[in-house]
Amino acid sequence: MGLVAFLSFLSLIYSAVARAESTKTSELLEMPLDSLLGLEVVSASTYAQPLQHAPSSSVIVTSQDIRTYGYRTLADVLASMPGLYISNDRSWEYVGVRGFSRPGDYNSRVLLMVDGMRTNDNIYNQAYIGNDFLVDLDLVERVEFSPGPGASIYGDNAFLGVINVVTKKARDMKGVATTAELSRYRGYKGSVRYGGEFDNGAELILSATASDTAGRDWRYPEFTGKARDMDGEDFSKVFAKFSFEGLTLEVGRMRRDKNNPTAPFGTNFNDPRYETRDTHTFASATFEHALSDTLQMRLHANHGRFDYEGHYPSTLMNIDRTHGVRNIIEGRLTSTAFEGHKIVSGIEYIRDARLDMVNFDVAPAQILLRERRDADKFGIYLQDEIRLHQKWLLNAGLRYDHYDSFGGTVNPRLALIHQATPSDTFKLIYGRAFRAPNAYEQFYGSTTMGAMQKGNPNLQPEIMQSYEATWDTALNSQWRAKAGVFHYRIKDTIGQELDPVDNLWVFRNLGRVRTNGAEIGLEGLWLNGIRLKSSVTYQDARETETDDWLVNSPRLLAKLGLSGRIHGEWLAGAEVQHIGARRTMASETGSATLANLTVSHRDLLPGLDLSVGLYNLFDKRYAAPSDLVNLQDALRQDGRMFRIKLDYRF
Amino acid sequence: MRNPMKALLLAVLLWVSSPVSAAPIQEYELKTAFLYNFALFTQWPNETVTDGSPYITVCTIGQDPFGPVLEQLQGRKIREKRLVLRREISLDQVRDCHLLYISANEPENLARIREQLQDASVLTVSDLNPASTERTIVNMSIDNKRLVFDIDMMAVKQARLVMSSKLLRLARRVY
Repeated sequence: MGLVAFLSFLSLIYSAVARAESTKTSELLEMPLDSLLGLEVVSASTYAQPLQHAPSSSVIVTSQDIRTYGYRTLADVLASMPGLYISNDRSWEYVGVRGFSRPGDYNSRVLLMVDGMRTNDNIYNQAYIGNDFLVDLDLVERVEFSPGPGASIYGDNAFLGVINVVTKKARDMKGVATTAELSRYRGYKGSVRYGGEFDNGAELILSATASDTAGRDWRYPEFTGKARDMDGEDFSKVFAKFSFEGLTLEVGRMRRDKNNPTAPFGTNFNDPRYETRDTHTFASATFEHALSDTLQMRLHANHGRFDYEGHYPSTLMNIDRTHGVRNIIEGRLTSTAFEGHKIVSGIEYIRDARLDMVNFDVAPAQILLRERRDADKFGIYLQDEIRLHQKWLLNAGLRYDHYDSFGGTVNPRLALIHQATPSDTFKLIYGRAFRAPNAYEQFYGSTTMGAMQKGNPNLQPEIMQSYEATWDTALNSQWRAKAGVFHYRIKDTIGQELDPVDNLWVFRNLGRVRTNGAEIGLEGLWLNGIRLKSSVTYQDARETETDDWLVNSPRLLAKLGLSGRIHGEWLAGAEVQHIGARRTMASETGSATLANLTVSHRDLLPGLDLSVGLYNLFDKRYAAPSDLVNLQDALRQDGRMFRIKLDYRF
Repeated sequence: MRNPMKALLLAVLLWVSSPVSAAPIQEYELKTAFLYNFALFTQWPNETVTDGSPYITVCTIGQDPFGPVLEQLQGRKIREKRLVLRREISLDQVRDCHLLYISANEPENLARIREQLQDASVLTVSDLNPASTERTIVNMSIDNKRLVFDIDMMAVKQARLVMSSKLLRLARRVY
């Protein structure tokens, strides 16, 4: 033991020395100018550079954009991005990517990560993007979205796209700050956060948020009367992050209760007992370390708990409950040891320790379903970014995943990147991805009396193959234009059908989908300080067998954002978003053009920031296609909303 | 070492404690510190529009490449005056700044900014290509992995700024 103690002591001294070497901006500001002149720098820290080499056409929304445009939730952020659209069924929000967002499906075809940690739950594999997102948006430094298959690195759920949310560093939010918000329909939100940087270089962030909204009273022609106080939502979240040298520890918890005025699943209309509650808890540890000048290591482990409980009042009170526990460990090595190669390799092991689902009636008490499952999954991947020539880059990646249920799957991605001129980048990308059947699709159900649905453990993964070509050009130092075309096919899509033998609903690998699309974008800054971002997407998504237009798939999406100072320090962010007509189960919804406007002022008084946002400014009536569980063929989306936000930094 | 747990612990300890390869400094972190020093070693004449106010205004115009690091300047004090940050301002606001960072603009934009500034006492800073014929008062560039700066003394005089001799001494070139 003496030896270990001695070595621990040595290591402490060692790390103290190592600490002294690392330098932060705040330290740089304290250093005399003559010392600064002697420091070695790495150039080009802007995001544009790595994006040019990325094997996808990624989009970034920064904390500055979040403030300027008054984004309230991750769904608001995503709605501003090219080609994305949001549907709200009053319980959860869903993101459509490249014309694909089937009503009734959960958000399982996008992977949502926070600081590189997978956050999709382990029963529905859903990405939570509304107020049920794990982290308060005020803690977010940037949101990166990479459209297209990312399964060659990330495995399951990286199907239509990957969202990575990067949280702020303590050094960028020093001290204590509080936020108070007021929004339409008696909405209140408050939060307090702290960011601290210690002398030894350690950083700490603590944050707590609580919110309560009464919600709007809705009318539906399918029901008589008004659903009063049936759209209420309250949530709370806490988050903490500690980082020291290469180690980052994060813990968080989110709990959200939501009513639903639409009376799905044959529940009573206007019954205030209808409620769903989601509770998500996580703890993660990430360790990043340079093993040598050319070898970088990342180790990551996390523990997640996903609890859901739904109260469904009809003639009986039905309770639906799931409990998931997931542990993930992951290791990654990045090597630049070989001239002209950047090699990334890694391994991920996912242990779904608990996959519990219960459904029961209260009075008379009857258990309709009780499933307790667990599952193991692992993936191993390798990617090489090869510099073929000064102007040509080949990014080749491959990942193998193994599942208890259906076996193995191999998913490659190949991207050829041509830097034709310093300002023109062309990319050709091929990728394959899978979406594993989730625990709900596999096991939720029963064949006892009174059941409506049965499980299908023999489900195979959905498979997609995608082809994409993009051109990105810098018109000058202030303006960039982008153009791209894409084609993808999905086979074995998982959908529900009625089994004629026992009259039970069951998930099966059903149809195929094929989609063609094109997208253009323009963004830049005029010399008068006005910034523009805009995009137009056209996509045609069809079921291959019938050639039918896909449900909830707008052909046209257009986005425009303008921001700049309007008077003195007053900043305005205005957005126009157009969503084309969508097919529903029975007919079609009209197209909609929505406008949002946010005006804000930093340091209105020392330390006090004000932001006033109006959403759906012209109160445009529009609807999103709904699922068969609703009587409504389409559900009206939010009308005009407002939010007043005050931030105070102590 | 009979106990394998102990061996593992030892290995982890050794590995965790191995020195971090000296963290390189990001370009814009260092440029932020340079901007701070330019403000520190410059004196603005009394007749400046904004003088008499307790602030020194640091502005950027054009695509601002700094990211969150520049926010470090907000609220810092120089000679009892608080630094105020105004990012990506419009052309008609340039005269309200003490220090104006101009991101690598097209030459015609720079000409318009200069026209707007005319004889205003604004310290212009940029990181234009040193080979460019266009100039701001201070120009930063990377030379042999080190950040250096050049000073256009004629322009300093025209803007009626007073620069400390220390700043002039540390410049790579004064012309």
